[in-house]
Amino acid sequence: MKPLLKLEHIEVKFPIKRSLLEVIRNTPQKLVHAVNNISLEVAEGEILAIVGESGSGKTTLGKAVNALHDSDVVKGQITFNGQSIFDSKGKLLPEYRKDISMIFQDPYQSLNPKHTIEKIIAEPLMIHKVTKDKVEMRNLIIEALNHAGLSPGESFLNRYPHELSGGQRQRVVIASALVLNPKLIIADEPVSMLDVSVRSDILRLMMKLREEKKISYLFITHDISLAWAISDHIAVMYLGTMMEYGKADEVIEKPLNPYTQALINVMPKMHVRRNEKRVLLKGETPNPIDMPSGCSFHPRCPKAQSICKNVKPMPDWDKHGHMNYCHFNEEASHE
Amino acid sequence: MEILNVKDLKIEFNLSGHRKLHAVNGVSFSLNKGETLALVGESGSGKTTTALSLMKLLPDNGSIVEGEILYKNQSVINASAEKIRSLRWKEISIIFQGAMNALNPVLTIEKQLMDVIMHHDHLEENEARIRAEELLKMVEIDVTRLKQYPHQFSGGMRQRVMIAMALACNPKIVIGDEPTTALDVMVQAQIFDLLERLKKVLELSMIIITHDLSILGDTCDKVAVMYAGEIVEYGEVQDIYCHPKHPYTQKLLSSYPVIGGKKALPESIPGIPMDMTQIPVGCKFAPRCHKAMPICFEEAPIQKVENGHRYFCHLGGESL
Ligand SMILES: Nc1ncnc2c1ncn2[C@@H]1O[C@H](COP(=O)(O)OP(=O)(O)OP(=O)(O)O)[C@@H](O)[C@H]1O
Ligand SMILES: Nc1ncnc2c1ncn2[C@@H]1O[C@H](COP(=O)(O)OP(=O)(O)OP(=O)(O)O)[C@@H](O)[C@H]1O
Ligand code: SF4
Ligand SMILES: [Mg+2]
Ligand SMILES: [Mg+2]
Repeated sequence: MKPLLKLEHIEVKFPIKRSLLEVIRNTPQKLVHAVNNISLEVAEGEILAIVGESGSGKTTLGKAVNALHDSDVVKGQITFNGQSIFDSKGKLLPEYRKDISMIFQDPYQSLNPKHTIEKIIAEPLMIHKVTKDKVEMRNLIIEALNHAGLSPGESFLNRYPHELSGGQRQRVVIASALVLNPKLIIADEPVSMLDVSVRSDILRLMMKLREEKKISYLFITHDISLAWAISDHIAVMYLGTMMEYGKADEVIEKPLNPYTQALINVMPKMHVRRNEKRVLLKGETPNPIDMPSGCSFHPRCPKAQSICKNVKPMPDWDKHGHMNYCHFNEEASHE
Repeated sequence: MEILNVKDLKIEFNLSGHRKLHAVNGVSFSLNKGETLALVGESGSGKTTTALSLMKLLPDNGSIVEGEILYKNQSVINASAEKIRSLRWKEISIIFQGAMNALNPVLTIEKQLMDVIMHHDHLEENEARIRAEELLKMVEIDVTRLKQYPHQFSGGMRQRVMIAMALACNPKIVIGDEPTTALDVMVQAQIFDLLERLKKVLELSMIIITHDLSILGDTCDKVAVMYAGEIVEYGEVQDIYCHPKHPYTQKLLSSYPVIGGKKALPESIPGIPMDMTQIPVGCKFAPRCHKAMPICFEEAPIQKVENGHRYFCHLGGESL
């Protein structure tokens, strides 16, 4: 199947502001290596989960897909529906903005508290000049609200964000992401601010939209079990690098990469295991300004050898489309 | 040996217009020496309020209206101001919810640690400095970092500093209010591992407040599940995980995907949390309960006890 979204060698490096003194002394420009050489595909109707710890580059990658960064910090090729999202002059194709939308993490911050729900959802419609007709506009808004499970949609039009619960607010965010009928939604931690008991409603809604409208998702989360439960594929990120990629079940049940293995080992598992031995990684994730040489994970990797320090691994793809970014491939040997 | 006993605790907040919010409604639990108890429940269920009351740290508009808190068999509620001063931080201390993000950005870690130590313990500056160093070692931060500022510390390290502050006066009970909530799984595991070791060495008892049921098995001995200001179920972690009796606990547990289990979207609990300014007759969970019967809306359930496992429900703890 042809991928809906294709990322090739995406890199995002943010320059760090230099002080006047540093400029005068001509010290080299330092960079935050937020996303390093990521290649991925998302098929129509597919959910790809991006998991990784704080600072691993998930949001930066999501924003790159959403073309929200200054063009000079991003390198690589993004293809949507077989077409580069930028024209030959480097301008973003106008349809692309309608085809994708992004849901941000915090339902409290992503809604303007002074605007009614109607006004909030009208905004994308106005920006894209979808219609001038007032009645049609209102109908589109009501439809989006109903789709997002806020029904009857009419009853929410004149309400303000503070009059809604956290779960309802996140539904408003989803409604405004839906109103332009996107093909791909980048959902950045869409439920992590919500109580568990309301999370599933939002997730169910997202799944329903994928069934009904064939929407694809780039689902960004730090929650590995959630990624496993809802996604088709999982990409694990560490320090801006994709350490492992594959079918959700494979990555979670037979992780190949030492980083993924450690994560899965320590994640809470809903059973009593205070006396079980756990593989705690030593120390902390390094700063992406001073990237470690070789494999970025080598300073903390329990399996690291000298090659890891000196040589960057090559992504190792097996025939089932499972990728491991590591010099060693232990699990794979029993196949 | 029992170190803390809380009985029928009721706490109210005064709201504008003479309205009252019933944040804690008859909570009872006890804590043994060396034991870790988890208070779990969703946002607004009264976890923080319960914890603050143990040190008499409630906000001004909040008050304990009924019940008793006994620390080593002595009343906390009726204690003199002086007694309370010798209780806070020295006997019971707390890592406040979100405090790791509230460190003063313009003061060094050392200064902030020393301020806490000098404030509680009336030590001289150089004694406080030595103590600050000791504490930092205890939470496994390199002492060369004492002169650094909070922004140079990662989230996990800032939380370690908060733990160091809570340990400053050698307390017997440490309360951790959502101690790992904003942290990554690996950092969370490191923090729990540290707490576990500190607990053994210092012979601490702990109360861990969390909304995340998945971490219980990594951290605690006993669990109290709170809903609308009540402990609806209490028991050993193992029993809570394997044989939850209360429909709320059962539903809450099934809100988590379990790797290795059935791969399906987790369950949700319909309805919204109770409006805590009203006290309904009947079971507070009834409007959201999938098993509610007519009696649930008419009469508050009484407590059922089976081998130390307690719950409030008209049903007999049948599974989902
Ligand atoms: N505009 C920016 N300028 C400089 N550095 C940035 C910028 N945006 C992000 N970064 C850095 O890039 C790295 C990746 O950040 P990003 O926000 O993508 O992480 P994340 O995986 O989304 O983390 P979280 O789970 O905390 O949201 C971090 O080190 C961050 O500090
Ligand atoms: N100072 C206050 N004045 C009025 N109401 C308050 C005050 N502090 C807390 N409350 C209310 O008391 C109830 C219990 O709050 P509490 O902070 O104890 O909940 P919690 O279980 O700790 O929740 P969270 O998980 O969100 O921290 C809530 O309904 C809350 O809105
Ligand atoms: S008492 Fe009734 S409403 Fe309350 S939890 Fe039990 S079954 Fe549900
Ligand atoms: Mg992010
Ligand atoms: Mg709280």
